[in-house]
Amino acid sequence: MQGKINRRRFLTLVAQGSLTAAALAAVGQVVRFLSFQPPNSTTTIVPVGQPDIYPRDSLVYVAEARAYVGHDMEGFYAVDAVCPHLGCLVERGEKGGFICPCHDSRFDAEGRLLAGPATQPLRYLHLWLDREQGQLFVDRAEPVEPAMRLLP
Amino acid sequence: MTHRRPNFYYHLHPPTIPAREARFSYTFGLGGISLLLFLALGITGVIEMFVYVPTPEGAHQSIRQITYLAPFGWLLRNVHFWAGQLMVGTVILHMARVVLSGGYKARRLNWLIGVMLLFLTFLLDFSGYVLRWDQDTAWALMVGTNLVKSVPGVGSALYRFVVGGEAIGAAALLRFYTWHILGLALLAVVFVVWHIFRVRRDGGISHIEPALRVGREQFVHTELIAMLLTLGGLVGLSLFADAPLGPPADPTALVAMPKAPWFFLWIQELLRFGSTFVAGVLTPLLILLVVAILPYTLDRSDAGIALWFNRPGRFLQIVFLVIALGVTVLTLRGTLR
Repeated sequence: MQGKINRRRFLTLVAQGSLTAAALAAVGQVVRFLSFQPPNSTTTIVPVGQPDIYPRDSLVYVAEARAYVGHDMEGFYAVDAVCPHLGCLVERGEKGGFICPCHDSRFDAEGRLLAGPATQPLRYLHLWLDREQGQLFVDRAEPVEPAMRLLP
Repeated sequence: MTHRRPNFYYHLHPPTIPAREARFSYTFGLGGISLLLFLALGITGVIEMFVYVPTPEGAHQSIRQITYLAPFGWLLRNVHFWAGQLMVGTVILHMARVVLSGGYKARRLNWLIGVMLLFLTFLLDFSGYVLRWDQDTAWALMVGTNLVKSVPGVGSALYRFVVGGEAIGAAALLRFYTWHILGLALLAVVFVVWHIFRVRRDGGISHIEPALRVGREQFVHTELIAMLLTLGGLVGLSLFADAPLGPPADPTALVAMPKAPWFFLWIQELLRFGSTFVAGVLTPLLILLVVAILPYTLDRSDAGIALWFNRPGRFLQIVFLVIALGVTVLTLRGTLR
């Protein structure tokens, strides 16, 4: 009988195998259950007020949008304040740049990366004027080219 | 002396105990103190559960209720806080004692269980920290969960698993609450019981054979004194030092100095230097793995058991101390920043 499987051994193997498979399947379903995401209803579009609260050459942090809204020679723009490294909010540094207080990533005034640990520049966000409401809006989900400006 | 029936507490110990190793000056009672703190955390934690509300709107308000309104709530919260902080320390010191006195020898499985308990202690402390839901913990949670996202391949799936959505919100708080009070705590209970069971199975505290053994009565006596002193220290600390509570978490507010909880400051320092995944996830996990396999690689002999700074384990002791020194230096750097 050496090397051969008898009925008892076979049935034991089948039982152990199916129990293991059932347990693994159950664990897999628990992981799926915990990874389930309810449909997202939160909007990424945030009103940031009327244009005249941003005078020329200003850069203001708007908490609701988690972004800096600025106004320079060419027009209005919005820079995402969320650090591309691990999500802290960047602060204004000297000479118009930005510094992340969590891990010291540095960006210049145009949001370009100066020093690590971040590997991406700060994002510029789509900013537009809703003429009916007379309000500026920022869409956090829509990054744009840094050179984009909303004409005053 | 008249013979008394030993009570349940005596039965947790073997009838006789190696005399030399049972002395306080050998173990410093660190394992027992950790266990006591763990029990104190369980009891105070369950009482807090009757008031704490795990929602973004309710969390901070219910903690204020515990701290400022409920009778002795401040003491309850302080004891829970300080027991949690102290436990990180006593567990690490317990580990250092086991390394330096060769306590892992001839019982390496229990070393692995202990490393698992260290890991669980960190997770429990971090998840508890998040439940505070104030400005400090909001950033720690933001950084911690984004670190999860940085894992190559499975990062975003893992993130959804941890956070319960695309961004931090009510689902994340509820998840951390459930992990803290049930998932992790239950796992920790299982491993604590297994850890202690293994100690008894392996013949009590690691010792030199043949050992002069003494009855457990003397040992239980010492244990009770150590227990009372620890409890006294814990309550004393809680009377005079309050657990911190900042303004409610606001993910849109600029914060001057976001800091990791003190036991993760070394990871925050690492993150300033290296790439996100390597510095924030891989390095800490590798360090834990290296520590876990130390007794299987650098010192496989059982000679020198229960001897402080024993020669066969010298190399392992040095490696452990170097790791400990590195983590300590980084932590200090983060503290002084």
